[in-house]
Amino acid sequence: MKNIFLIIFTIVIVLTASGQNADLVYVDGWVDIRSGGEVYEALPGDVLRAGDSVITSSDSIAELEQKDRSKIIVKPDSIFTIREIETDSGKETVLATTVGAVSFKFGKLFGKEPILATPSMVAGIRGTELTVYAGEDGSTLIAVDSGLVTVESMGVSVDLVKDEGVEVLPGEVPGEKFSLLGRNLDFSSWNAEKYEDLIAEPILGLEHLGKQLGEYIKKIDSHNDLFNNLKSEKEAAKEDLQKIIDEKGKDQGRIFFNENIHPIDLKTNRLFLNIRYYSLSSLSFRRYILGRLYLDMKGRFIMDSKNPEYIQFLSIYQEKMSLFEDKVVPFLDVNDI
Amino acid sequence: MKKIIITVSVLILLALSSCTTMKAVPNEKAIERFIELYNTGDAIRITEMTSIPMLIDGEIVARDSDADSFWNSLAKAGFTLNGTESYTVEPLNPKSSLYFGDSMEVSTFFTKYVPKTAVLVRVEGPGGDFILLLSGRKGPYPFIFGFTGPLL
Amino acid sequence: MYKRVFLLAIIAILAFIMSSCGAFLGVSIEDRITQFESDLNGNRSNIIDNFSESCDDYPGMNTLAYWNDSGSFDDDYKNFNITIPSNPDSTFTTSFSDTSGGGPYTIKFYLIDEGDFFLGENWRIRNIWISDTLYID
Repeated sequence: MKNIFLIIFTIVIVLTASGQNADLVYVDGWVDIRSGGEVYEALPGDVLRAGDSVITSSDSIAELEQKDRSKIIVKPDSIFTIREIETDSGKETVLATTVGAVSFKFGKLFGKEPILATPSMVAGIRGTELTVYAGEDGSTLIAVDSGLVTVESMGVSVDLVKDEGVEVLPGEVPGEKFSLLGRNLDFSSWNAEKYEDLIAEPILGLEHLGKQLGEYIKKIDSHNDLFNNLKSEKEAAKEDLQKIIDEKGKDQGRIFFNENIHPIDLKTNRLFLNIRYYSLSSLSFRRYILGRLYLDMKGRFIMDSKNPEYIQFLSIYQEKMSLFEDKVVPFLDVNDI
Repeated sequence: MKKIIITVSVLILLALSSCTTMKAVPNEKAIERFIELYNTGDAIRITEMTSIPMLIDGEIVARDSDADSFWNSLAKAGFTLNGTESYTVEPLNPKSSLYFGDSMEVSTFFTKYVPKTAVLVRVEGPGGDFILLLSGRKGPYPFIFGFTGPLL
Repeated sequence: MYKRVFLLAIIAILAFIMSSCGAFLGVSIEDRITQFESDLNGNRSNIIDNFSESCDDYPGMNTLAYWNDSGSFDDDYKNFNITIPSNPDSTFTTSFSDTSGGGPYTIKFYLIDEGDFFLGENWRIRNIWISDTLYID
């Protein structure tokens, strides 16, 4: 009897552990999947894995289902990515909405709930049905239909329950939460309004977006510092190793290596994967949020490219891009582009 | 019999002319037709002729909707290219990417997404010269892979 | 006579097409591990091809920097030598050594067959454990 429980428990753990994959169960209109540097048409039956993105167009939607029967609906003009990150409590799945609207209805199976992310916030969830709106200005709007959601941005958290919502501006702490009762949220008008605000004051908007990019870069730097510390530790241990080999012979050296250097090696690759997580998040942010603003400004000032406001915008933009090139690009690969 | 052969030949020619290829070197006529099309301000047609991902300055445009919105904003601003006679064509070379920017993303874009048959068309526009990165063909027009300018 | 020549020509063309897209060139578990070992010791630019895209860590691993700075498979360590048992199962434990000065270490592989009717078997690595630590997920 005990064994049966053990088997069932193991199966459940395995199922929830591989729950980050999602099956594409329904597609309406043209939807792309970006996977491993390739882009192809999404069709029902495709499986999305960590690192894969679903890109819907202005008139298409995609519905995904996870093994625990969680449902994810990627609404028009959205970019949704499944990612993974290593945290203190182990590996976590991150369901990231870069732009657009995505609705989630999570299953009841126990296990680790995923983290939800947009460019301006991360959210922890518990048995929840909610919609995440990620605006093209980098803002986020979260609307909770059931369960509990903890939204965190710039180190400040706010808890949301049924029929509550909150807006998070890029590079800002979460705003005041509000009641959804009697309000009909319409993503496209909210998004259009947010984007108009951004484009009305593009320099200020760019500064906010730059702050958000800075947050990603801080995370990359802090993981990179830990990574470099481990490397220095390893270098120091390698010097000791040489001394031990010289004084006590190769066999003692082997024991020293296995006890002191091998454990460092085992930790190094997990840290590197986290650096990659934040680098890929930065790349999405740069491509779909910052890039979109750049294109709009170029279109707006194409006949007046000497305009002082435009020149100031370009100079700040260039500064942000230099930072991106210095701090993020070293961790990117041609396959990511 | 003769009629059948002529009809079949015409149909084959028509079918071939409507073929889409990303790997044909655009000839002068195709380039001029593209500039003319561009100057009509028909953003929908230009979007159709846009290869995604596309490069605009140092920015990789990965969504059709972003390209569409860019071409629309240019059309709305009244942006046109000066004539079809004063352009120059340059084949791709290892330094071509530098017109667009000196970054890892731009150089990767060129190696990964730009066919070797692409050409850089330098054409005058408001405020200076612009570069159109063209290759392939669909019907009478080449595809556009990149746009940058005004050059300093 | 013509019919037979025609049939032979069709078969020859089909065989040519299939061979040019990799048919009849299945990759067994041993082939995959041998290839992985060879990539570790040589040019690592295609090392990612040994792995299934279903690896959770795939986006992170899909860069040369990961492999060259990846701890146990660091490019400072040379002459990786993986002992391949005969007729290995899709999950098998073995050992590997290198010139790092330590080891040999136990290494466990889990592979999946991503082949199809035309390509035949095509095993790819899904997970690696080194010294009982999940190394590639």
